[in-house]
Amino acid sequence: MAEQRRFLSAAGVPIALRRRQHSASCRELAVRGPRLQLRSLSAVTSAVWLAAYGLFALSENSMVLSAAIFITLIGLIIYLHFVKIDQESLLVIGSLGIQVTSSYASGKESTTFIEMAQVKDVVINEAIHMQKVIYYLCILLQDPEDPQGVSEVVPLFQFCFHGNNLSTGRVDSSRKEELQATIGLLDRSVQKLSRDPGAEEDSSSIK
Amino acid sequence: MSLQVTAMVLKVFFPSCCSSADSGILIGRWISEQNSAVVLAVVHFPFIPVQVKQYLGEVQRVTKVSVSVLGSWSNSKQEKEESLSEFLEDLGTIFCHEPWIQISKEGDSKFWSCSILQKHSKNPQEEEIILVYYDQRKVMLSHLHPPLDTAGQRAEDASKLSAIFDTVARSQVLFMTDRYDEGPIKLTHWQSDGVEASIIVELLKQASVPACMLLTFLLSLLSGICRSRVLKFWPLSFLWSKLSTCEQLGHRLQHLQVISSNKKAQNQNQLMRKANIFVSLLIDVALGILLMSWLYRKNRIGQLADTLIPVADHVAEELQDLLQWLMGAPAGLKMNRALDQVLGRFFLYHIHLWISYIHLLSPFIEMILWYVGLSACLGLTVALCILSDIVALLTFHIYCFYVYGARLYCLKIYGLSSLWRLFRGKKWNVLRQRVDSCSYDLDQLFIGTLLFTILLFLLPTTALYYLVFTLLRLLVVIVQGIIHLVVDLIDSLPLYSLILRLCRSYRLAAGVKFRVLEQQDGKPLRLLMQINPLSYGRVVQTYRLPTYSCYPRDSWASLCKKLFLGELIYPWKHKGDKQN
Amino acid sequence: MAPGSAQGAPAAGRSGPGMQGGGPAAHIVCMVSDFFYPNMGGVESHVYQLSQCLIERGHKVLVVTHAYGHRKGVRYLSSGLKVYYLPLKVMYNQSTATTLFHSLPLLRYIFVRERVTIVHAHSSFSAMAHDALFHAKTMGLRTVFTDHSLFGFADVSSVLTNKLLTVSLCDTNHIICVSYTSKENTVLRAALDPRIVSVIPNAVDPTDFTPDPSRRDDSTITIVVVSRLVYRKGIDLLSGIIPELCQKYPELHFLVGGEGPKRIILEEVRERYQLHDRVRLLGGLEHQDVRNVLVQGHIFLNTSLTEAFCMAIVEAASCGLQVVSTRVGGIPEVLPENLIILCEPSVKSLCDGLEKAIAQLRSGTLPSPETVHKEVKTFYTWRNVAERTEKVYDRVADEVVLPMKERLDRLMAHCGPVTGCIFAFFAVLNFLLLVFLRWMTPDSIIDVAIDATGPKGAWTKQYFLGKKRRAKEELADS
Repeated sequence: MAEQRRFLSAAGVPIALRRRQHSASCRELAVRGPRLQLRSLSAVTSAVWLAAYGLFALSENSMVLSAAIFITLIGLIIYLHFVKIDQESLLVIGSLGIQVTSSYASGKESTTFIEMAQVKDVVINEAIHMQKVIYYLCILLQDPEDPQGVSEVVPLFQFCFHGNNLSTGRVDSSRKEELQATIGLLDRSVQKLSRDPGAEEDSSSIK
Repeated sequence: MSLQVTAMVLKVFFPSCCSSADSGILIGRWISEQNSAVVLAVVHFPFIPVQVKQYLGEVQRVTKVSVSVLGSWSNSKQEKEESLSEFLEDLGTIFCHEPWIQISKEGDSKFWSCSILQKHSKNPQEEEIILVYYDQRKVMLSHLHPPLDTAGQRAEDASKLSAIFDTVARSQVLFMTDRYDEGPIKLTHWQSDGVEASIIVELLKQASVPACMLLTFLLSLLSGICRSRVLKFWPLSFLWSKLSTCEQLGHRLQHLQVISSNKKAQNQNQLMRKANIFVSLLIDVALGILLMSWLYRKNRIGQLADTLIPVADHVAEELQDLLQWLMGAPAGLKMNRALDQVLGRFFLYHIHLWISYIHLLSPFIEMILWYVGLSACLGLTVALCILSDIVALLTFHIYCFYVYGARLYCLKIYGLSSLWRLFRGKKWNVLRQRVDSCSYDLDQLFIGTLLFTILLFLLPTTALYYLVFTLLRLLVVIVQGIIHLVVDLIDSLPLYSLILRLCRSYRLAAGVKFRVLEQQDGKPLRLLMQINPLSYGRVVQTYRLPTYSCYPRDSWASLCKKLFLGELIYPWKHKGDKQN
Repeated sequence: MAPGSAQGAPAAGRSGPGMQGGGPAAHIVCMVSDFFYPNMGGVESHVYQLSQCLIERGHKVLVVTHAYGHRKGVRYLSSGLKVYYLPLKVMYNQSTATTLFHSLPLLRYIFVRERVTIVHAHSSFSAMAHDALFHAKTMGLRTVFTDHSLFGFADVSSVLTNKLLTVSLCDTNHIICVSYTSKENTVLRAALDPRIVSVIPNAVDPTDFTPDPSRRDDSTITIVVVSRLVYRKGIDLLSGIIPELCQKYPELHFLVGGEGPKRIILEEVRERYQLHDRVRLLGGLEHQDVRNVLVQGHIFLNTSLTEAFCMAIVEAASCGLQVVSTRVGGIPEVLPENLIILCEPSVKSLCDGLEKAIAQLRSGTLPSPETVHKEVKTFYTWRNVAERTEKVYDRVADEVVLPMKERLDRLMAHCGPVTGCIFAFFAVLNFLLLVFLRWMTPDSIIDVAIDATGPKGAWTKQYFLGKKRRAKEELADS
């Protein structure tokens, strides 16, 4: 039922794509990023503490040290709770909708459910992101007022765009293949499940 | 080609509270647009079919939801009974419904089997079934359904998920029936709390009516006084509009009016708003009383008054020193001596006036503070606003200096810019709002040059005075801005919504989410529908209370431009009229 | 299999800047300019038309420009021309601000993912074009530069710009100018070896500019002016001509298309001499509207003070109008004597020229619009331009890119002791930045963009059919 394949993200970080078929009309795609690296964590922490110690040696104020501990703790909590995404998964349920869940490193989960009636299309788009030009997968939402219009673009698997370059794991195959694999799966799921089979032609169009 | 485009998936929305009900028949609504069945309740054996039909007709009349018998439910504690299953199939002929859904649960097994009977169908295709469990209570309270009074638009929405919420919300009457009412039919569904539990609430509601009426009367009296003629005369009305305390009091008055109005809240949002205002008022007053109790202990007022006067004195002295410095050669700059002296003396005289005024006031300061401190019982925000006003009053001399400096500077810039146009053979066309070319004669050019030179050489002196006093003014404005920010925060924070989000997160729903429950081969897929609560950020955004003070939110660029051109800047809102 | 064939061109390009097969090898060209659609003008249409014709000839072309308002990111134009609208800050006159370094990460990413072999920069006013040349040279790509404008030598701004141009062009592989005058000017300004400068004129699409005499009002004489209303286009001259001629010829009308800071002068002239019914100011024109304005007139007036190659007069002549123009820059090369009346850039001379044209018009000695159109049609075509540009690319592809050391030597030797040293230092910094970027994101993890250009491009019907077949196979496998 479940299979797993490994890829590299746009920043060269290894990621794993796992697919699970719950039933004929329900499947789940999950992309898991690398775990928090102890090495990078300890590097950042020691850097902050060294700087704090330097300041302490200069100013001889012990407040600096406690502040540094405080800052690292708060920073770590914020990083784990709001920034570091461990896994993003996509649950496609037949004729019901698509559910996007991203789970943060702290265990927090944020979920969005998109009804099938709202989904206009699923496309791969190309965009400038920071100092990079990347391909990304997104869901186009139907504008309720205008049948041709797109009200919103929901990018999927966002955390694959960026990432720290500290980990050096290397896996063969490129990101595009991964995207194509994903969109192939998603395309088929959506096509099969959505009520108009005519969407097939442009569901792989690229804006 | 293993995967073909199969037919629609059939979805059964099943209330999780019915999972342990005894065998019976399922009643609910069939939504054909979505190919889904919403089960509302289970009717237990034994029953008389005619009575059930009658009952359903009654329910349908009250709720305007087309409730019908959808299928059968069998909950066999032990082994499966052959006879029962046959009987259940027979039921399908009595209550004809297309398709006829049969759900059966065996023992304590989590995996139910579910089958569909379609008698009149031509192609007996194997349809896939998804069982979706939902919590009737949470779905009803989440207010995800469209408002109940807009029945006309239901047809369009039938394809959306909201149709399901709508069905559940409309059949509210079904759940309100008394638990101990011995009717001819026995039902299982979510039971709303009985009348007993809400007696206290009812009593409170009854009691609040006269209280509200009394409050309304008092408020109308108060606002009548406020609106009376006497307070509308020019200097007073001008003063009211500038004092932030008055603004804040007016704002709170409006809030009280909203709370005490005996009109029933129209919808969820208005109810939320009322509750939010009430909670924020309570918190505000509580904080104010805390502050008051702190102030009036150990003669803190007296200490405060004793420090206030020396501080004001000290500020004035510092200003005097600053002016002395400016009148010499500040930072080694060589100024126009005559203009410098004139300006310096003028400002010095002002400070002199100010100091004498402060000293005149000093015996009464403590008393004033004592009475002003009492106002803290109206709320922390009022106290803060008074503080802001006091700061404004005590730094009035700085404000005056700033206005003089700015006016002078503005005049010079204005003159210089128009004379610069004169040099280039241009002029500002007022009618067309554009720069036209224009030929001047010799006299005009001569005078223009003379004036331009004079203005240009006097500019540094004025600009320096302007710069120094603008910096002082900005300092005061920033302090006032911070105080107003705090007041705004207390005023606008939707505390009730936040508490609700913390304790009853399903009440503030952003949508739904599904969880795939573990499953077995051959059995239908089971999903759990949960309410997806709004994030805290969204809660604050949605239920934020409007505040009275929308500051002139200049962008930084326009602020800098204003400062450069010497236009006056104010911390408070610009009304329609000009201040001067 | 199929994705490989779809990306045949990038795969070939990928074999690297080091090795280049001569002859018919397809080039992957990156056009860089600050000026591109939706902005309007000569450079913009040049870049667009040239790209289209190069795609037709089987090359892969992409355009890089800065973001225009909401138009940012990646867009596709017809026949799969990919345009990158980069989010860079615009400083002055649609030209981006330059720090010489800040655009390197993005440009490098694009050059790598598209497997660019030749960077072709346009317009000396475009800071982005110069930046791209600088970066491309650092990355070891071949560079071509097209100069579209003329410059003076005397004033301070020209001296500065010329110095920068010298720096920018001294190690560029090839330079293209639009006219011989422009070539002369560029060679002098940038102190170049004339052998690496080619002349390829601009062109117009003659099918877009066909005459339509029925749209003319023959009871009057209409003089059309279509240009941006800026100083360089001689609008001050125009404001002197209008009252003089209008007094002389009561049936004369002026039609002015274009927008700019000098519009106010024309408005004032109109108000002062009460010419509201005879001088019509149309404001900014879309490119497709230009022809509709041109065919309404009899005479086209061009008052430019400096011009490398004037596309406007070719367009006007193609519409069958009699052209009156100033004799500046490359204009005398553009049209043959019988189609143009050349004047000195002064009010008097231009008035004389216009009177001559009016006299010819009244006597009926002007050739008919159709014959003029037929003649002009053969002069300048984009296909020809593309063919000649391709030759330049072929030549450039055989050349070697200067290695870092020689490049530094060239800079120091060629650009004077002070400027040379400064820019050599910048080149080294740029190289270090590139090394850093290569360490951050190695070339190998930048994925290759899908090739969309040409008949075999990614989103044509054919490609889709192939893709669908593959999808089906995949389905059967699973």
